[in-house]
Amino acid sequence: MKIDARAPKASLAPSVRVSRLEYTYPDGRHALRGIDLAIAAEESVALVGPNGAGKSTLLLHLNGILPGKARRGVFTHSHGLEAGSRPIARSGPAVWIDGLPVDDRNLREARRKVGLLFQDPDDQLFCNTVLEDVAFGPRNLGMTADQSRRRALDCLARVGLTEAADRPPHHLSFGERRRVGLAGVLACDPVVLALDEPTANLDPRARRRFIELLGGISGIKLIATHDLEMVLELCPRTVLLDGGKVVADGPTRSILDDAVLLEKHGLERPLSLELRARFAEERRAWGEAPGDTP
Amino acid sequence: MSSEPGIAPLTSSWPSRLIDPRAAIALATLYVVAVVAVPLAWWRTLGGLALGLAFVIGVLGITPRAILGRWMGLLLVVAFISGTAAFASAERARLGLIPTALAMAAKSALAAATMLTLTSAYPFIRLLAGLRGLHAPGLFVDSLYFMERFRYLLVDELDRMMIARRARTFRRSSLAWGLLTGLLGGLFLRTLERSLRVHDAMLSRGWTGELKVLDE
Repeated sequence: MKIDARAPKASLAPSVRVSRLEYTYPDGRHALRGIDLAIAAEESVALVGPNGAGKSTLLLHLNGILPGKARRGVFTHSHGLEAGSRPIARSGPAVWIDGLPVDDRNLREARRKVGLLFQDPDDQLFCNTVLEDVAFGPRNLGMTADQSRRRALDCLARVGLTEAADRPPHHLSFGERRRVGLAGVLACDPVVLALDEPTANLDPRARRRFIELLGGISGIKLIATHDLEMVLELCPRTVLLDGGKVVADGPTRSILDDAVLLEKHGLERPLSLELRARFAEERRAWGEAPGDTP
Repeated sequence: MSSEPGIAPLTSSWPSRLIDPRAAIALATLYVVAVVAVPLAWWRTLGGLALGLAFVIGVLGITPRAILGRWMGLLLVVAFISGTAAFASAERARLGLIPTALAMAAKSALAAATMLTLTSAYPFIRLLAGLRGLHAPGLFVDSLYFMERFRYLLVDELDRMMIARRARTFRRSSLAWGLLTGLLGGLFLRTLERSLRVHDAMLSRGWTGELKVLDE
């Protein structure tokens, strides 16, 4: 199912373009099967789908991490245009960020433009202090130690964790680690924020705080998540992936309100929409039997 | 809780705040070289060096018990090295096996105690900065840096695996070797997977193979 006609895509050139992206894991699992996606500037897009749909794999392609592995010989993969059912070798890139093709020549710039927030903050925070970790990106992007320190402190202030600057990451709560991870990504000043399950494992208060933080960040946001209530709050557009394919792409409300579509693809209607639908149904039922009002 | 990261130092006395970690590392290394250079039967010299170390420990305000506790953890290694080295040493013919082994054990113990004193006096992260300042090989320092960061995580991970094992073990017994090796193997695989994910996270923030830190 495609709802492209209703998708609120900008008519301008997209800031993120993915064209017929294919990816096969070394165990032979075909993770992405010809993904096409275009995201305009300032758009917030949710990437939803069941486990194993290819959401995280797609995010890893945005800054060239996955094909990079194959080039280094760690993994084998296919990454090409599909001809019938047989992947063929790709001669050019499949992902463009801000018009820049994500390939060997542009990896550094592509990685600066795409900030990737990993699902597990312990994967993301590898330095011995919070400040060092947030400054890691700016240092690698060529800023001096002083500039990086200032940038890191600014970003820590944005996520409300200035006082944690000198603490080791393992002394922070899970929610705080998640916010430090976000600060580390923001410190690279990305054009695109790619977030992998940003609210997973957070308690309600930390989740609320993180959602508010995300809501206050401008720029393109691509959020892979199972938290459909968050999607309703943050993302006007939703892309539903299943089996490595885009099965629906359109306004969040129409996709998340389609119980049949969601169930078919391993999801369920968010509780707020479900209650609203039931309430509307009951009202209709009452309306059909006038005089029966309690 | 210490505000500085790394292994909590056992002291925060003035010498450790005043003396640059680079100088401390250099002094400790010189001391170890001196201990190693002392001929085997020179007990008085070794005794003098031991007194010197005891004085430093006293000035730093570290309780000998704390050093001893950590040193005991190295006892097996010290005994093994002394035993094998004494057996192979040419001095064995002159001094006898046991005196040779004892002298070597004394030297190893002094060297280990020196390094324990150093790591007890400074937070690990400052020692790493000192090593970097002394131009120690980057790969070595970076490996120590990551080891320090992920040490806690691996211990947590092992704890969780042990708890999961206990939750499905219905008899009281010590850990069987087969299970222990299985746990360690599992931990190794998890570590490997995590290292790949961490590497991805580093790449995504512009890592080019050189760890750039703020205290350079």
